[in-house]
Formats: sequence, C-alpha cells, structure tokens
Amino acid sequence: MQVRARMYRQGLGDCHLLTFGSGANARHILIDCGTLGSTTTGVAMSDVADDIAATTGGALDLLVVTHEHQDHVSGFRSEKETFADIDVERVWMAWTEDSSDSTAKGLKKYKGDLVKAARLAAAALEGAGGEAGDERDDREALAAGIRRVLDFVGNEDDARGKLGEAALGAFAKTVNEAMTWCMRKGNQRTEFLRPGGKALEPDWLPGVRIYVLGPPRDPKKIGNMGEHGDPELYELAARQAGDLATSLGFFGADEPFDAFFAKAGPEERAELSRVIPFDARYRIETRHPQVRRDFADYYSRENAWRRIDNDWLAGASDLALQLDNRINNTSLALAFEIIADGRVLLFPADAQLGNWLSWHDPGMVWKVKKAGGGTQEVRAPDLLRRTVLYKVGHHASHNATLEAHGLELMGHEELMAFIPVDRSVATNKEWDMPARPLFRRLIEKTSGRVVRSDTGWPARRDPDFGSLFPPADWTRFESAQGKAEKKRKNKARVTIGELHVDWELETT
Amino acid sequence: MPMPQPGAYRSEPAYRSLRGYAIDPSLAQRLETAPVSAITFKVPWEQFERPGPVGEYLEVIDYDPATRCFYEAVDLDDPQLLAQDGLPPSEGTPQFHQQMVYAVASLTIHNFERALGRKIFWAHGPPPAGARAENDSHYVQRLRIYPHALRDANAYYSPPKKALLFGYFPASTDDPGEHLPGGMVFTCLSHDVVAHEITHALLDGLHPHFIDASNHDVLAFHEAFADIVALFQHFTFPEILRHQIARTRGDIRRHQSLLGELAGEFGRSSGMHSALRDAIGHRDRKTREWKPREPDPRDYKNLSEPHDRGAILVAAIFDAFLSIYESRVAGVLRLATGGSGVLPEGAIHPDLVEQLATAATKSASHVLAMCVRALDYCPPVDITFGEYLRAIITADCDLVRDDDLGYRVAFVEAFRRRGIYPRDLRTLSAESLRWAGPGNDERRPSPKLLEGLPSLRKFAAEHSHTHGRQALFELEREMRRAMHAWLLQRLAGPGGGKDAQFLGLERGQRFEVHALRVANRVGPDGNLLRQVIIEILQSRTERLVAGDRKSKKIEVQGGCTLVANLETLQISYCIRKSATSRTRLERQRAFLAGAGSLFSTYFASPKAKEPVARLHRGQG
Repeated sequence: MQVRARMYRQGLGDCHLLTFGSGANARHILIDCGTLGSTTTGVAMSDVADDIAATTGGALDLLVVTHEHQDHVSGFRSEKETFADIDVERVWMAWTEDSSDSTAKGLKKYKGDLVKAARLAAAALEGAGGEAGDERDDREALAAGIRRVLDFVGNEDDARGKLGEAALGAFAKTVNEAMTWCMRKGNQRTEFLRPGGKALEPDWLPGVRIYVLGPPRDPKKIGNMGEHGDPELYELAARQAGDLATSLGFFGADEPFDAFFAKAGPEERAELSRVIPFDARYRIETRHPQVRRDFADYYSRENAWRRIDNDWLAGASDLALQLDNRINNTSLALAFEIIADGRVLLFPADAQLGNWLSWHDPGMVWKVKKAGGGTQEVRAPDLLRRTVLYKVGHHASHNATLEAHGLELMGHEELMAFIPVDRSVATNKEWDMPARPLFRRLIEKTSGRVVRSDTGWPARRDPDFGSLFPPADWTRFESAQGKAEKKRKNKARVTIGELHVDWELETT
Repeated sequence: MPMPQPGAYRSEPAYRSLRGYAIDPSLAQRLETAPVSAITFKVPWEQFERPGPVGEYLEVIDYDPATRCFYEAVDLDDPQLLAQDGLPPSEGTPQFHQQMVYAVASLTIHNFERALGRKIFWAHGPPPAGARAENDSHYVQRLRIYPHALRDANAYYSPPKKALLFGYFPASTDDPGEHLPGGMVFTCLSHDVVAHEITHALLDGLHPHFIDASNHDVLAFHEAFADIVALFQHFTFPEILRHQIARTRGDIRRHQSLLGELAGEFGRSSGMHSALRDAIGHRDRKTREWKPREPDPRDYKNLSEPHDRGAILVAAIFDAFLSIYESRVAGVLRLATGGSGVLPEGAIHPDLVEQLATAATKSASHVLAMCVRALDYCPPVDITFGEYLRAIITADCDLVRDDDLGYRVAFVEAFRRRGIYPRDLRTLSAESLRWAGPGNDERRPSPKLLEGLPSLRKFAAEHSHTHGRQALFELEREMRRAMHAWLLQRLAGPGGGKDAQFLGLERGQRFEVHALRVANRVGPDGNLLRQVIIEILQSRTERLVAGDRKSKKIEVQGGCTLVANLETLQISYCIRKSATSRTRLERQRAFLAGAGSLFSTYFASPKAKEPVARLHRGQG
C-alpha cells in the first residue's frame, strides 16, 4: 500500500493531508487547517487550500478537526470558498465538541469563563499603573503575554467588534464559525470520538486501523490536575473562573462600591455580594481622603517597592495558561496503524501532559484481530514503539511531548518527525518553539530526520540550533537525511517542497 | 526624701493575650472540635508604633486591591480590646483577621528565635538608588503582612517585597463539609497557612539562596521546612494538645489528629498543602478510614514535584518526633497500665493526658530546635535533604554530647526509611553523618587562614554588647566587609590556592562574604557553645547545555559555610559546595533541563521574581 503524509508549510499552525492507497483507491484524510501566521516560508493559506483541492480531486474521505484553536482551524474560514467546493464525506471531532454531552458542556462553560476572566485581567493589567521601577515592564509584559496566548482563541477585537461587550466570554467569531462550519460540512453526521474502546477499522479505509488516544473523558486530566486532582478542587477551580470574572468586572469599572452596586441588576448584585469579602460598611474606598493619611506608609515614595496593587493580577497568567492547556488537552489524538506491517503514524494534535498520560490509563486497552486469527491486546506503549512518523505536538513546545511515557518509548529505527512551526512567528510572540531540549532529543531519536515546516531538516549552519551538536554528529545526521530523501525499498522517502513536505512509504 | 514615682508599681507585661482560631475556622463547625476551635495565643508583649498592628518585626497593612479598598487598622492597645484579649474570632470582621495574622506570625517568630538562640532578620531590601545590584545595605525592619492581598486560593511570601500576601476565595458551593456553602475562605485565618508563609520569610532571611532551585530538593526543602515549623507549633497550644491526646489516647502515630495534620480540611478546599495530608496518613477513598502512611524508600527517588518531595522530609521529621515521643512516654504508660503498656478501652485518665501532653510538648520543642539549629550547619546554596540530615546530626552532636535519649538515632532511622541518603556516604550512622571536621576533612586550610580567627573574637564581643536589630545588622555588614578584604588578601597571598580550594572557591574570581553570624548556644548540660558562622559565595555563569553557546544561561553558585569555634579558634567544619565542581554543574544542568512548564513556553521573564507564589500555584 502507498501511504503519504503531507505537512503544509503555512507557518505556525497545523495542516496535514494523509493519503492511503493510490489512483482510484486513494483515500484522503485532512487533519486541521490553520495558522497564526507565516513569515519564514511565505506560503499563503490559499495555496494550501488549492493544493488540497487539486490533490484530492475535490473530495475528502475524512476531515479531522482536532481542537478549537485558531492555529488549527483558521483556514476553514479564510479559505471558505475553496473548501466549499470540496466534498467532505465525514467529519471527526473530539467528544469535547459534542453539545449533547453534559461533561463537554461543563467544560465549555468553564472555558468561556476563563476567556472572559483572562481578557478582563489583561485589560486591568494594561490600565493599572503607579508602581515603581521595573515593575511596570513586568506588568506590561504579563499583559502582552496573556493577550498573545488569547490569540489562540481568536483576538478580542474580533469578538468585541462583532458581538459587543457581551462577547467577552465567547470565543472569537473566527474560531466559532470555523468549528461550526466544519461540524456541518460532512455528508454524514459529524462523529464525536471518545478514547479507548475498539480500534477503528473503517470499511472505507482498508488496511488501516485507527486508535483514538485522547482526549481523556476525565475533566481533571484535561486540566492536567495530576494525581492530587480532587474532584472538589476541580469544581472549585471551575467556579472561581466565573467569580473572578465578576470581581474583575467591578475592579475594571473603577467606581466606589455603592455607586456600582446601585447600578447593578438583581442578578449582578447577588453575584457581586458573593465575591466581596466583607460587609460594605467596613470598606474605606481607595479614593477616600482618609486613605492617604491613615495609610501614608503604603503610599510613601520610599516604600513604593513594597506595594501590591497588581500582584493579585499576576495570577491571571494562570487563567490564560489554564485556558490554553485545557483546550490543547481536548485535542483529538489519533494513531494510524498500517495493518500489514504494524507501522504507526502518530497525530496527537496539541495534546498536553494530561492527555498523553491518559493514554496509559489501565482501561486503555484495544482488542484487535490478529492476522492469523484470534485477538490481540494493544496498549499505548506498543503504538509508541511502532511509531515511524510522529507529528510533534503543539509546535514542539516544551510541555506537549511526554518524555518517559512518550518520546522515550518511541524507539523504531525508522522514526521520523514532523514539526509544524514557524520559529520566527513564535519568537515574535516570545514563545519558545521548538523548545531547545525537546528539539535536541528529537534530532537524537530520529538521527536528524525531523522536518520543520519552516526550515526543513535541522542543519549545522542553523544559527539557533547548529551548536546543539558537534560536527561529527551533524555529519551522521546529514547522511541519514540524505538517505531519507532517496527512494528505497519499503522505506519512507521525504520530499521537501516549497508548499509542503511529503513523507511517502510504499509497503511491500 | 525622694518623691514616690507615679506608676512605679507597673511593669511591662511579658505577654499579650490574643484570641484566635486554633487551627482554622472550620474547627468551629464540627461538634467534636468546637470546644477547642478558639484559643488564646500568648504572644510576646511589644509596644506598637501604630495601629495595624505595626511593631518591631511586623507591619500589617490591610489593603484589598481586588476590591479597591482598605480596612481600618486594628488598635490592639485600645483598652476595650486589651480587656477582652483582643477581638473575638470572627470571619466577617477584617480587624479580627489583622489580629489573627499578627498573633500567629509573632508567635512563629518567637518560637523560631527561641530555637535559633538569637534575633532574626528579614532578608535585605533592594539596593539604594545608584548602588550595584549586590549591595545589601538596605535594612528591612518589618515584614509586611497583607491579609487580603489576593483574590485567589493562594498565599505566599514575596521575596522582592519582603511581604506576606494572603488570598481569599469563595468556598465551593457543593462542599458538604465545614464551610458555609459559597461563603468566603480566608487563608489568613488559618494558623497553618500563616505559620507556613512566615517561615518562608524567616528562612529567606537566613538563607536567601534557598529559593534558587538548583536541584529537586531546594524548593522542596523550603516547603517542608515551612510545614515543619507550622506543624510543631500545634504542640505549643495546650488546649488543642490535651484535647487531641485524650481523643487519640496518646497514640498520635496510629490515629488521625490535628497534631499530625496541617491545614487539614481547610487545605483541601483551597488546594494548598494537600500533599502533607497524605504524608503522615490519609483517608482511604473507599472506606473513608484514616490510615497512617507506611514510609516507602523509593519515594525520595521517584517524586520530584516540590510539594510531594517536601512531604517526604516532613514525614521523616515527624516520624523522628514520634519515635522520640514514644520512647519518652513508654515509662509513663507502663506505670499507668501496671507494666503491660497496653491501655484499657475507653477514655484515659486526665493525669495521664497531662503527662503525655507534657512529653509531647517537650519532644516537639526539642525536635523543632534541632531542625532550626541545623540551619546554621547547612551549605549556603544547593541544599539537599541528605545534607540537611547531616546538618541536624552535626549541630546536635556539637551541643548535646551524649545522645542518651536516642534523638539522633531516631532521625537517622526516619530518614533511612524514606530512602534519604547523603550522596557521598556509604554508611548511615550518626557518626558518619557528622560533617567532616579538622580531623577527617580531606582539604586543609593553611595556618595563615586560621590566623584570621582571633579577630572574630573581638567581633563576637562587640556583637554581644550591641542592642537593637538594626545595629546588629550594620555591625554584621561591617564585619563581612572586613572579612572580605582580609580573605581577598589571603587568597592572593602564598598558599592562597590551597585556601581557595579549602573554601570551595575559584581563586582569582569575585566572591562575597554572604553572612557572618554569632551563635551562642547552651547545651542541656549547661555547656556553652560560642560559634561564628561564615558563609562565602561565588557565582558563575554557565550554559544549560555543555558546549552549546546558544543555550540558556544558568547561574551556578558555590562556596561554603564555615563553622568556627570561638573557644578553640578552630574551624570546626567547612561545609563546601565547591564552585568549580564539574559533577555538581552536570547535576544542575540535568535538573534544569528537566524543569519547565507551559508557563515557561509562553512567559519568558516576568514573575520569576515570585518563586513562592509560583510554587504554591504549581508552576514550579
């Protein structure tokens, strides 16, 4: 069977086209189509969409939309015209997008609260002031950092402009529209997949088996709450995001409590009373003349370094991180197995630790039919060991590739990796992608056969990463890369083109 | 005939009585603990500078930035409050919160000073305008306490602001437990949280580099130490102690009690300190029954998250305490049971409770003293649990010659059971754990180096005649400067290479005399131990990946803690972390390469300044 995995080079975002079989029997699967921008390759999203249409002959057997982040779905909206002409037979999404699932609904509400609180916190940080020295830089950097993480859910102007202030808690229209559009796009009803259970052997895709690894069903794992994650704590965290948003609303209004309260409606009053710690009669408003006299020490110039006006907002970076983490952890993580020889192509989207760890849960056992009859149990470590192509999670950020129970289990001699990333876009946002230690380990594990969508093979001349290895290692890597570009029997061949990178295998 | 002095009959009281929650407000909600939920703290009397309270060590400022308001500062000297031991406990009155944080913080400082045997200092403030970054002349008299600083289930010590920031948050609406559903939870009302946070500040004042994570143990040590101090403070409250001794019939090891639990129920609702709950014992998820935790020698090797790891150390020290307590009460129990040592069913006699409580208080205060004293015997940077054990044992050997009650054995045993070993020791005994002294240290100082010691006697004499913390701060700084100048000359002179090696320094590189302290301790036999502790530090910039000049810069610190005996004019110990050690550099690299989080992907620099805040949020 012929197998091709194509990584498009549209910048910081994912768009992969898998093709199994050839000619009339070719089956095309598109996994995501998005970008946060491209400065290195200059590849436009429209070129990508055109190529998808041309390569598939205008028909996709399956569209996989892994999670609701701009860098995975923006193309479905920006290239709506091209995609409108592509026939999509079926659409897969994670169970977390299923509006009839009550757990999923809870997660959505939580996410909405987080977006709202994070946006208000960023605004509060931007509007604050009066601090000493370098604290201003820290505060501004923090606010900017939160804004940039929020870019993943679409930017605020987009949300505010179209839907008004009420949309603060909503995802930007761009992301929402793209998700909804995809959900309705298939000829068949969109399927929402849950992890574990049976390995899928769709009859329209002969010779391939698909394992659904994540997202986990346990909301705690989606929050990466780890071993100590207590269900009560989860509830608490979920509620706190909402309460914090209320609190920030009052803070942002910058009005005395009485005046603010008087204007509020009954529901807001109830919420407000809940988030205010003491009875209002104990309050001495910061604007009250008494304050400068009674708390002169707090406001004195020589003690400016000890003020705490904005410290409570520093925790707001948590909201943005929590949000990003949660959405990444709702990634539909899939493993494609070529049944004939057991090779695996691993596409974990942007799964973070909680998602990866859940693949190893005791219940995650797949029963599959053996070639010679009978059944066989498959677990995550088997799949990782047989992985020959790993689509590196979350643009090779530090925390989206599990070490001991992830990358270190991938030991196949043919292992190669794709990193969809644009380092210059990431660097502009001050994001560390690809993360140095991970990139280094990936190069080691694959003998240099890691292709980045922005720059191709890692090279000794690379100003950032050339110093990772001594010359002798680079020579070895170059030789492995050279071999990978040649056509060899029963081995994958990598072709780095301007628009995309192809990994092709013809199994014998 | 002299005129009678008005008011001559009065004298300053020794203590100020202040009411507060014994552990936290949740105790008042449970029938069983309600009678002991409120207690009266006896804190050292002091003259306040102004309401706040603002005293010698502390300055409470009740600013609530999230809701843009202040709360009036409590005046504890108001006769109305003096007459009734301060305000009665109340969650709804901010002034009581101010009283509570002040009381617990003062008490903790007091207990810490008693164990340490000298006055404490907060870490120095930011350098004066125009001075170099390492300038440490800024004396900070008072730690600031902000009881309502955060709108978050968090509380932390801020090293850059020398302040404690406490948060508040609405309790879970569906919590069936102690809190009013949807009511507000205040971290500043938890004895354990306050004691924990102020201990971070106390430790930072003594060892400012213990927040630089250079191995898995450093931050874990900070957490554990803060927990240990908070935990042993429970044994200083007679009401709680007697109540819980009676309830567990003296068997603290095998029964859940408030004595072996930190921020118990309260901690659960906030997510803080949950690890510690598990360290000593835990409630089975299915049967809801509490079981003591069996030590697992693999834990120290396997757990890396600072709280999990810190819990191992807390459990080890609590275990040592239990062994000491049990051996102390064995005789009383035999007496009370006609020799069998097995108590009959039912409640135990109040006299027995009293005896057991006395033994528990004594054991706890001894163990706490050992733990605090050991801080003078720690390396100045890069601490590990194994080294802390060595510090405990060495400090105790110095002061208490005869270990007739088996304290040291109890410690060694408790650490061994959890797999905590110093890296370079083959055998584990009180004797082998003791730091190498002049007799068995493989590196020796030159005789010239020892010639610097007599000058320390003069310093010590001056030190003992200096009053006031600020004067002591200035004096120590002056001495450090003198010591630095002298050492600089010494290391440049003949035999200086050998001395640099002895001190764990790289010759010719800048170094700092980081600390110089006088410690006078009295042993149980009335023996006096007069010591000077000198910490010398050197720092070097390296790359995270060896040979990779593009990789992140890392700071590698080294140096030593010198313990010098003022009687014999000998260097008793030189506790080294060699600045030039390659193996240590590699260990630090390996540790830092493994560290990182989503936070580090998206936020490059800010907030690195608040290590404790991040630690408590789990962004370590």
